[in-house]
Amino acid sequence: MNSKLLFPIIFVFLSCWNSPAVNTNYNFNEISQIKLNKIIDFNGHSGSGQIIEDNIALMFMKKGYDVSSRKEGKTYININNKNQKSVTLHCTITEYTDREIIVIPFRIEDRGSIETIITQSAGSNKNKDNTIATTSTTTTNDGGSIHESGKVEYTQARVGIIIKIIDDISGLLVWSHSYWYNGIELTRTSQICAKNSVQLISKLID
Amino acid sequence: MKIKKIISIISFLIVTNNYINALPKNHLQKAVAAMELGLFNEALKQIEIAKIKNPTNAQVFRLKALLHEANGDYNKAILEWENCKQNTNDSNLINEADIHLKNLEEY
Repeated sequence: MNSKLLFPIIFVFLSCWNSPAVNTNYNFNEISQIKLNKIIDFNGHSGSGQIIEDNIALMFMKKGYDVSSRKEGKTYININNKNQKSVTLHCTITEYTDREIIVIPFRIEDRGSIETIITQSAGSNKNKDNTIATTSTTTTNDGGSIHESGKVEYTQARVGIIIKIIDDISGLLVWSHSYWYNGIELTRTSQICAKNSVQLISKLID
Repeated sequence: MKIKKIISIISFLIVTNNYINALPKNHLQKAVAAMELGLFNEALKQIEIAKIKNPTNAQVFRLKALLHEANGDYNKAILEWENCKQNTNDSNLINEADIHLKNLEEY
């Protein structure tokens, strides 16, 4: 392939890879209700599904939508009553950890030192009028050293999700997106992860 | 009796030595220790000192940005993520900084 063409193709691919996949033929303005499917817990993190589910519902509420929870345990987000279409939001947790290890390499720098010792002594001559003063200076110069071998490890939280929106009648996958966020605290990280995903969905339906 | 005293002194010295060795030695280690205890402001103080010896370390800027985010100082966090981007060639780190910047710019 022509190398002149290869660069723009790679550039376009890299700039778009993180954006959501949208079915452009689907009219999102006709959605009346979003059904939030039960989110399955991430491996070994019981309750993680419920946390993400609650955060998504909370973020929809913050955006001003009516959120209702029904007997079967599902959450419904009501967009408006005029339209007919309803969709189901499926969310899969891809990452849910507060134990991701991050290494910070650091420089150990010994800047060295300069030590100066000044010794002064006064000796008297036989002739009392003449006094000889002797001064000696000793300077020790230590150049120091730089090591690059130091490192510090710490743990951080990381939450990743994949969201799919499927039309209830046709079963068509109309929107999909993967998103991750990291931070120091797991609760806040999962909240931001949900917030940013809801932000993208609300842009579609508004 | 003397042997018992000597043994107790030696064991005391071993325990003390282990304790001293376990303490963080540089400011970056102190910052991480403070952060893991939830003392974010203290961690930021220690990082500020550590930054003097590591002025271009992108990972130091990254940690500082995360701490500001946790503290709710979003403008300071934005500044640190920008500094992090300027001091690295790692595409993963640049991508991470972009994700955080995009989120923080909404506040």
